[in-house]
Amino acid sequence: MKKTLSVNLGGSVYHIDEDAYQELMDYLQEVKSHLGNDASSSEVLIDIEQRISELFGEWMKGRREVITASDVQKVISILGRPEQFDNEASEATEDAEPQAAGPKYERRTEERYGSAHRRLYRDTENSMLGGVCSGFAAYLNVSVVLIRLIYLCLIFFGGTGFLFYFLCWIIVPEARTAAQRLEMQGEDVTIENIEKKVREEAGKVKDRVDGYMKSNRFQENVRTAGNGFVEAIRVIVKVFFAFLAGVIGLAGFIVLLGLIFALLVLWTGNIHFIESWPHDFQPLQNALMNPSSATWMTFGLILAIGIPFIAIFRLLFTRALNLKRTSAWEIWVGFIFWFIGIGLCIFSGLHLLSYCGGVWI
Amino acid sequence: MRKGFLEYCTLLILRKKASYTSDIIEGLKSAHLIVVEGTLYPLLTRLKNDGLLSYEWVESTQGPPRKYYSLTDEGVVLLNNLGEAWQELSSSINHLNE
Repeated sequence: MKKTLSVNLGGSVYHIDEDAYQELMDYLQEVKSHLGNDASSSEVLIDIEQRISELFGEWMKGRREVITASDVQKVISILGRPEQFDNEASEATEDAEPQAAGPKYERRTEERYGSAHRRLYRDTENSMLGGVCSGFAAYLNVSVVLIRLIYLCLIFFGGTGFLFYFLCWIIVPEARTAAQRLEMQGEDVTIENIEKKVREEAGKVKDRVDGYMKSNRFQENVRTAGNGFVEAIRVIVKVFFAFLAGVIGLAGFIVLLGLIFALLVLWTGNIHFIESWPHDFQPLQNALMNPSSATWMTFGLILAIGIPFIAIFRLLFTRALNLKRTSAWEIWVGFIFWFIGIGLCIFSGLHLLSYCGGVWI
Repeated sequence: MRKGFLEYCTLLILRKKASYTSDIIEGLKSAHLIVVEGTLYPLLTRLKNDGLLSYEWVESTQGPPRKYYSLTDEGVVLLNNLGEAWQELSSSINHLNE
């Protein structure tokens, strides 16, 4: 006497012996692992269950009430073991018996925790901007979302994130070949794996194309919103840098103004202004009251600082203001004047120092 | 060379009339090709997902409803292409056999 269970197979109820039930469960589990995790596997599983249900239905006609182990085995031989689910059709002349050979299950679940050497690459397949966060996520084997969140937090509470990201973008190489992508995920670089990876990615491209063509309005809207947000962030970054440039420019401009002012002061010989300084600055006062070298010094400073500023200004804003590219002679002239400026600074500096003797030091 | 061969055979069988898995198995058997049913289910689903096949549920008095597969227009186009490719292959082999 055996214990029976009731099963729901494809919508119909059957009584099945306990041992037959176990065998059927194991078989279905094997089939499930063999089919893997893609979207079509659940459909195929349903088809298979329904077929089994149909076969049982046919056999339970008449006086039969219970599915036995031999029924299950019959079903398995009709449907075939998972390792026979390949594309190969055997000719009738070949041995058509179901192979009892050892199971060679396709390992669908890729080993993501490869002990093999894992390398840091930029993952441009799954990237938002430059693939830096995706690359790190692959290297550390954590979710990309987590890395991106951490990164955003760093930016908002520290501010140094931008530079780091940029550096990584420049320094960390992009994972371009299949071999590199395998290394990025820490899997062995073998021919078999490369083949798998290429197929996987071809599938992804296909899915991506399918997805694009099948995407509904909602997804598109979300995507547009997302892109808009990213664009906004990019604009903010650009504005920030422009602001920085502006601040630095302004500072430099003020310095230049100060120098020009000093120059004017010296030229008009407004010595009283300098005389009123406290006596600690005596040597400096003496130096400055010697108009010629101080004048040259100031002039030199203006050139030495002003010319680079003009150059930077030109560089940054050529595109924005549609200026012509700096021609060769402009560069040469600028360089010469800057050199002169430096020279003036040095000479007048030396002169001023000698004037003060060793009193300062 | 075997990869895709079975798909081609399946498409050929389905061109004649809409069929159910058992019918396809029978068709293949008549052409001296033995496969287990389990091979067909993933294959048919794949072809369906690629847009080459479509199916209809047909109620059955004796058991669960069955999927009857038939070729889509795309499937017909592909079949014709495969036919041409097959012809080329065949003539190459014949040529080498001379």
